[in-house]
Amino acid sequence: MVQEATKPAAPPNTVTLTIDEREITVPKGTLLVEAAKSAGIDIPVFCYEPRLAPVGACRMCLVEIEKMPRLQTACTTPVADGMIVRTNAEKSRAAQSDVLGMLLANHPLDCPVCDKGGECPLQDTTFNYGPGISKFIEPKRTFPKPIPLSPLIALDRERCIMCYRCVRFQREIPGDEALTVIDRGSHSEIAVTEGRDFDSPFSGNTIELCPVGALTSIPFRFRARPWDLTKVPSVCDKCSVGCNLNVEYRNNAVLRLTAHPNPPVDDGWLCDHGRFTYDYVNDKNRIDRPLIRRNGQLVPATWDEALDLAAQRFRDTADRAGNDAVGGVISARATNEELYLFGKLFRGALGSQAVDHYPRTGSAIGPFGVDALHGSIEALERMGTIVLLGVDPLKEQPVLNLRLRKAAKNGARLVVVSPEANDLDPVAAHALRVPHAALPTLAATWANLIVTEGLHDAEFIGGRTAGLDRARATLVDFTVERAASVIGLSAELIAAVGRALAAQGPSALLFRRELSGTIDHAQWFAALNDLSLLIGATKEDGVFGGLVTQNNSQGAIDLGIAPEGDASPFGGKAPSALYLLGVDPLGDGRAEALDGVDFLVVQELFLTDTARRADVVFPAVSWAEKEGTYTNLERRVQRIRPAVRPPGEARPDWRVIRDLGKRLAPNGFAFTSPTAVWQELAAAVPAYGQLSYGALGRGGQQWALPHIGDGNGGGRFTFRSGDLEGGAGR
Amino acid sequence: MALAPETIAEIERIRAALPEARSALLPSLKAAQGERGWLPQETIKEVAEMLGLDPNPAYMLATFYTMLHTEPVGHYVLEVCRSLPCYLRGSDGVTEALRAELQPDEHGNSADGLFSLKIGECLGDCPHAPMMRVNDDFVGPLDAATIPETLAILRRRAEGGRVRGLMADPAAGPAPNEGPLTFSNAIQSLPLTRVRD
Ligand code: SF4
Ligand code: SF4
Ligand code: FES
Ligand code: FES
Repeated sequence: MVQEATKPAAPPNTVTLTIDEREITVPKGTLLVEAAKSAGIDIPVFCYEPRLAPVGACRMCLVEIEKMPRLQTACTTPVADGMIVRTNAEKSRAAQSDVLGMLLANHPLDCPVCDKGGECPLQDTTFNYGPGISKFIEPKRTFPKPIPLSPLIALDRERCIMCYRCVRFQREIPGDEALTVIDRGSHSEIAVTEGRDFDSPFSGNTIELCPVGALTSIPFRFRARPWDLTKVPSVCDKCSVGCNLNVEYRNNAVLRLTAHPNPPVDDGWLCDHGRFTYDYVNDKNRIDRPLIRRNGQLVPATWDEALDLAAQRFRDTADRAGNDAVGGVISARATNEELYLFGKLFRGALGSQAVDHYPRTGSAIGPFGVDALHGSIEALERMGTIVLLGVDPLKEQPVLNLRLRKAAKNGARLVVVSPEANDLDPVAAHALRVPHAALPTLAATWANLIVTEGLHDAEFIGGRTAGLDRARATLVDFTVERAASVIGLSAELIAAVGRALAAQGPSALLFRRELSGTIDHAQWFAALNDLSLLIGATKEDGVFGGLVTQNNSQGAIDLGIAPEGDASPFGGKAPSALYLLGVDPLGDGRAEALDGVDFLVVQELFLTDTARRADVVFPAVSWAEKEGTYTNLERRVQRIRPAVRPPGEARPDWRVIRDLGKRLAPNGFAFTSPTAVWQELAAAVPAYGQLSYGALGRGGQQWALPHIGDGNGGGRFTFRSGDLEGGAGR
Repeated sequence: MALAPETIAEIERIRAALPEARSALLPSLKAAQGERGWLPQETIKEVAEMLGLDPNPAYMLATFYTMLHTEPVGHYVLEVCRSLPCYLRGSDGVTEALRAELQPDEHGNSADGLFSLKIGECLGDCPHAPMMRVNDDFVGPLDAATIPETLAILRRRAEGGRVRGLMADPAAGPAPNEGPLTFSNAIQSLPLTRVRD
């Protein structure tokens, strides 16, 4: 007793227990399996997966708890004070061995031809905890196999141990019923309805969740054993979320992509688009050497010939028709380093302002004067309210959609406003169908309602913002009744949802930057600006931003790869010499972009329609072959790493831009690596200069917004609708 | 293979009486099964779609409950209980006798298409162990020795009508279930009927 009293008191809300003779203190409510893990004690599991609700289906995790008559499942039992647990004593060891024996009774043990072999939890757990010899001599159950559940995933029912991870994943994370269980008891099977595919956009995650070789990737099946693959951690380049993944290759071919969990970004998930889109890297039809047009035909050329020709014609055009007659458009999927060099090539070496990225992200400057998302993806989990205006993340930022569902599960009230049915409707507190054209009116109306009824946080508005009075004068016309007549929803509904937005608690406002139709975007952003202030989305704990779509749209914005004003090589007058890097206007139905172009340089992976029209074609390299950084939708700069060698004579894109620069400028293009480009870039862009390059390769780092960075939570925000002639959204 | 108008009307009635579409799934599947005695996948899908639900959980439900059949069945579905009380009173002997008489194929169907033999778990009629379900009726206690006779009665009644009076030894146990405990009856005794009024 006396000894007890001298022990340091455990912090509140914690529980102290003993596992395998070791005393462990963990937060209240922790599951036994997690408590053990935190102390480095391994309890074998199959059905347990920390990101899914525990079910206790497989009985693998049985442990002995003093004073409890029977063994308990560690994956469903929360810790209790003074609990004494044994995971490795005779009783639990015997149970673990018995459970494995039962799981293996019908398991085919076809490891030598199983894709999971070598990275299979059933193999590993059997090796560590299982019986050396089976007690069963009965014939094993057989099923036809494999059954293709979709073009991507095959099911082997003999191997399935019915842990339900796959079905639970679908139900709990994307929230669909794409996979199901049929029959019951020992006859249960994973299945889909006849004639239907396992058609979830996130289906690939079940391949990694499956602890056996029951769910395998059809594109990867039998292509390699896991131990023959080399894994390179990188970042997905298929959208602006920037999920982390491993590029796994063998014999210089990318064979699969697997999750490389970076929880703040992706929670360890990938969407199928990101996971399965890699065949093009290995495609034999890729352009593998420079081509130039001779006598009307594109023919192979040396790098020097092609670079000399391009540089010469750019220079001639600039001399003859002015610097701006040479234009360039680079894909918004290029790395920051490539974007920077591309910008430097045009602005610096050629003195041209005609440089842009594609698809172009319309600017959406936030109330803090910066065009970037305030807050983070992870912060969405802690929101009280989340308003989505005109965005459908399932289509454009798939894994972000999973985070929004998680937020809803954590209790966030989702208000989904979109023109069409939205995947998040079923988990939303309010789902409103509103056409794009009416969104500015709706935002202004809600702002007006909140300020008129005094529902905003007066302290924040009084202390941290300016210009409310002028904004009020403009917003006053936006009555709920007027909005109702414009939008075609009832005034009561509009008012009720508006009031719900004002409820206290951290709030997020995510919006579509470009609305279709004739919208005055200045008015749209002014209305969003004011609404975000009134609902507190710009507070330290809030989230506010226009969602970008491409993996490096944000980088293109940050590095200013866009012409002044609205002029664009694709919008205004076409330049007469044009350099397109990873951009295919003909394939995108924008043939007019090439009108008046008399010298075209195209850098591409494949001979696209646009490349066929070019005078010079440079082979481009894919994201799996290059080094550099991308900036995702939440300002997180992350590093990608080269895994495979590009085909033939193809060279990294940054080198090609550099070599053009060397030919066009006396100096300034002596870079020897993407890292060297990064160093110059970081010196030129203050926000990037604060980042640690090392951290970019370990989960990435968000560049700091100025208003957050000033230390005391300090900048002031300005209401904007008052600045507009004629008011917002009119 | 569209649902019959009466089935559609019945499903609509069930749906209207319940707050959640999901709750209507099970009775609706049972109603749809009434059409041909079993549920082709097409039908399961149609029912799910009528209720605005994903067909996958409907398929799950249809395969989970032994009262729903996803493969063709005979006129009589015999579900012999194999749970402990019935087992202790000889259910395995009853099953053996049924097998010997019916010579079922791998789907449990007899060659004449009249019977389907299934093995089930406790149906809550343990006082009449060993028992089986014959379509919507409970029958027991059974006796392996009188199974041929029992089947003969069923064959004679194949024209229709309820199954009764099949007890092995009437003196040995309580009377067979009078008003048959049918699924559809159970549903009708729920608040559903009120909606009709
Ligand atoms: S398929 Fe895999 S994940 Fe799904 S239940 Fe079977 S073993 Fe578990
Ligand atoms: S959500 Fe985007 S970044 Fe993530 S895996 Fe899918 S495409 Fe790639
Ligand atoms: S891991 Fe605990 S029961 Fe499956
Ligand atoms: S054990 Fe057979 S009905 Fe209960």
